[in-house]
Amino acid sequence: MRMIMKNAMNLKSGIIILLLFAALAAKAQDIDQCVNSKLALEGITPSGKCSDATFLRRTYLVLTSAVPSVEETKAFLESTDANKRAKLVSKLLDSKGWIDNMVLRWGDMLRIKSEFPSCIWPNGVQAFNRWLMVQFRDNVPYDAFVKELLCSTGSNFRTAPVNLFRINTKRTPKTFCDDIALIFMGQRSHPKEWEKFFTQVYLKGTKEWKEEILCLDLDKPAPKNVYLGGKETISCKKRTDYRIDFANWLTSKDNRQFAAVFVNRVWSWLMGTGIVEPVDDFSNENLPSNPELLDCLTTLFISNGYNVKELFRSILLSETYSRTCRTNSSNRSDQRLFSHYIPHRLTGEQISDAISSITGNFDIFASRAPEPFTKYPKGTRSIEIGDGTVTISELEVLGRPSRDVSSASARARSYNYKQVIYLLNSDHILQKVRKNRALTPIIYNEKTTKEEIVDYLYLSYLNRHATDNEKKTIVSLLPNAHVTTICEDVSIALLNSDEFLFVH
Amino acid sequence: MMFLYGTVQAQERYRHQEVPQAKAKAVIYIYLDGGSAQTDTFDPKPEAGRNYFGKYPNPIKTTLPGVMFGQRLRHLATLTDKFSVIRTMTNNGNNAHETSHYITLTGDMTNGGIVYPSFCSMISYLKEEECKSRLFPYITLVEASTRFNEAGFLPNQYKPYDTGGNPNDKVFNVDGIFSEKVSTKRIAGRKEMIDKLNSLSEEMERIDETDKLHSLQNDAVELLTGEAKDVFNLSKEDEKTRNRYGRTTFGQSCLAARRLIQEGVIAVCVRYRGWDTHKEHFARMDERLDDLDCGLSALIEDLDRLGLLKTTIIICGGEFGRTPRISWEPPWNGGRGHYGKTYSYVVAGGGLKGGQVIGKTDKTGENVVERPVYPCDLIATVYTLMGIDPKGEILHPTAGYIPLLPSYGNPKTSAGLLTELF
Repeated sequence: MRMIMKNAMNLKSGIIILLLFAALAAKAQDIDQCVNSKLALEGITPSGKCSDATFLRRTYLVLTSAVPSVEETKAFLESTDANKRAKLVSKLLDSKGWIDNMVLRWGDMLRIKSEFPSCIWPNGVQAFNRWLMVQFRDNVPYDAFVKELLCSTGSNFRTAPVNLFRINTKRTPKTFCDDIALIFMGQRSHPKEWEKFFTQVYLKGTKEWKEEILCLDLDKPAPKNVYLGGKETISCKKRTDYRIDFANWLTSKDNRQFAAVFVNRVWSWLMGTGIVEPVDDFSNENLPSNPELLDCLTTLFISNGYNVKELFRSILLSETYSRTCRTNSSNRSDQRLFSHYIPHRLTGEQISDAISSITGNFDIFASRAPEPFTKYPKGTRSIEIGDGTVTISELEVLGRPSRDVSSASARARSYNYKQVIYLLNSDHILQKVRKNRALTPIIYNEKTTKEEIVDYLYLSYLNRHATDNEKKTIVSLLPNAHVTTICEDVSIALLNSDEFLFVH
Repeated sequence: MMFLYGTVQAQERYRHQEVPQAKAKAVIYIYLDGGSAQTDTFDPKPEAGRNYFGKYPNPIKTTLPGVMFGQRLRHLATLTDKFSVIRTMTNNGNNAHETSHYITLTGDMTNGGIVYPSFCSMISYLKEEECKSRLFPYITLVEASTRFNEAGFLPNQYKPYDTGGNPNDKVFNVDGIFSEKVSTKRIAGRKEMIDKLNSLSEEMERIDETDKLHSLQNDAVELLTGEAKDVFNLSKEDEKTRNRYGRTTFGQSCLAARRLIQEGVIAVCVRYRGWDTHKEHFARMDERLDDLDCGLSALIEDLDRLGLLKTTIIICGGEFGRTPRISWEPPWNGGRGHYGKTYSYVVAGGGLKGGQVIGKTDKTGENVVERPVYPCDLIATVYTLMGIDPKGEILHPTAGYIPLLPSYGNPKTSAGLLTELF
């Protein structure tokens, strides 16, 4: 009897898993359908599938901000598993890299930095980062995540989410609502009524240096018959935390813009551009390029219980995501309808981390506030720093945001002159390239041909093999050159090439 | 409300009523990082007693009748017709490094929740099109601030370019631009290879963004293989000139600043660190004050000789001053703390009158007696000289148009332009 029960259970869970996969495929298909019907309407023929190599590099970068190693690249390219793309997506969504990358993106929006003008202080910065890390590690539903962020009370060192109310030097209901409107509703302003729900919040110092307790003054008048949107007005019960009523409204299923803003952000992280662009300007003057698509994603996200990872997965498994960036005659001018992948520049952190991991030479990061200075562990990647105050010149030049504004505009979409000069001729980069430890066994193996070295460098920097033509041409550009010269010049050239500098 | 920030056209970047006639084309900021002691430099108090003047009891006469300077500022004392001194800078007594640093660089004392850019970043943003240099509009020698990211709400590219390196070394190594490690021939060869790699790649095709990148790469190679980068080659200056500035990192930074201005750079900040002397203040001041005296006087004289002082504003000072009353007791052993209530600044050039002393402090140098000058007043004066309306408004990425100098004009944080010097 027990056996039968167990089998039945297995069967049941098997069916559930099957259904789950079918559901996911359906989601990805829904997305593609929305994209394709719009394209058909406009008479645009979409591009085909990208190569495995491109899929690998693109997915690593958008999910983890890292490039794959030579070994991972080879294994993926050689694998004959028909499901290898879906498996890669699953592997990366469960990796620490994905969590770090999410913490970085939220750290940008929440302006997490220890020093002035935002002054969360190192202790608060660490607490806030750790809390975010747990949220993404546990894949906490987005609505629950935001509710906790908005409705916590306590010490900024212990109850990390309260730091949302400390990121501004000026702490008033208006500045709280400015941040909430921009980050969660993609709006540059908010209705005055919102502020009524935040009148109770105040911060009280303690004897611990820079520690503050977020407290509520329960005697503040309760909001009455406030209309925020949807069907009903809201009246709060006296002497309760009025933020809870606001958060319930904000995260409710009826407030579709709340979900839409997040799915649009995720879409832009994965696709390089939002359906609404800029992603934090939802307004009547700035409409989505494909409203049905945004609507479809919003519905999927809400009906799936605000499951963040599943939202990522359904986009990543879509045909739309896996298109090549190469265009055809009908879709060349399309920049907004996703008929082909739109190349977007690597972030400063991605470039810096890629060069560090490829060459095996990592930078040393140190927190300079407060004294004594604290060094980060060796091998820390720049996306793991978690503090806008901790930096090195390279990251500043390459465009890491200072975390003084929450808007997406803090990350430039184009390269600038300083960055191009730096990438071409920086000593800092040159030293790393020259001390590339991974190359030592290859260079000192007499059997290695120059073509093989070129191929290895392509695998390192571009995550693909060099074509025969590429190998031949590059070797011919450096006749009589010593292998170390080839390594240096080809590495510098590769890291300045379009293929390296763009997610494509 | 839709606009792509960073691509905002110059004429939309700020709106203003009256654009003052520009007298100055560039600004050099000698930033005394940590805060310098006003009583040891430009506002000596020989009658206040040993607890105030400490090791420096004998201020020296200057070429201005009745005006004394600290005893180590020998060169500057003979040059007073070329610059003026503000003795009553004040930030209302803010003594925290981070806050004062921010206030000094931005003029913003509103605590209004918006992070402003430093005034040099602001100038480089608003005057970008007037920058004739092949380099960048705003450069810091030799390191940027570690306390405050100067771009504020502006796009990241308006941060200063941080040279790194040391101009007092045999080769002033400016990362990315000037080094002897890679020959120009090799740089050109690499560029050729980059172009070749791009043309062979089948993964990507040309798009607007890659076209933009390639055009920048062409400009960069032109800079790196051309002569403009030689602005950092201080060996092009004769020995006499180099010695006049002082063979110190600071002195040679001042010389490099002059060369950058000649090259057409709009804003240069010489970040002179080491003024935060809580402990054993006087043991460190002798050398430091000599270096300051030498470098700053050389810069003023040299710019004047070259006819550039008329169009180049020089300002010199830190985030605050230092406590006039000395802490003799351990662990300070003759130290001076932070002091934001009143402190001194030097201003010169750019159409400002020399030979003036603005403001008056009390007998001990602890309080303003006459004519306070707030950071935003000084910045407003710089803006006016540069042809920027200090009452103008600037476009913020999400908040629309906001005041360029929010504290300016508020009687609690502003006492007006330095019209005494116009």
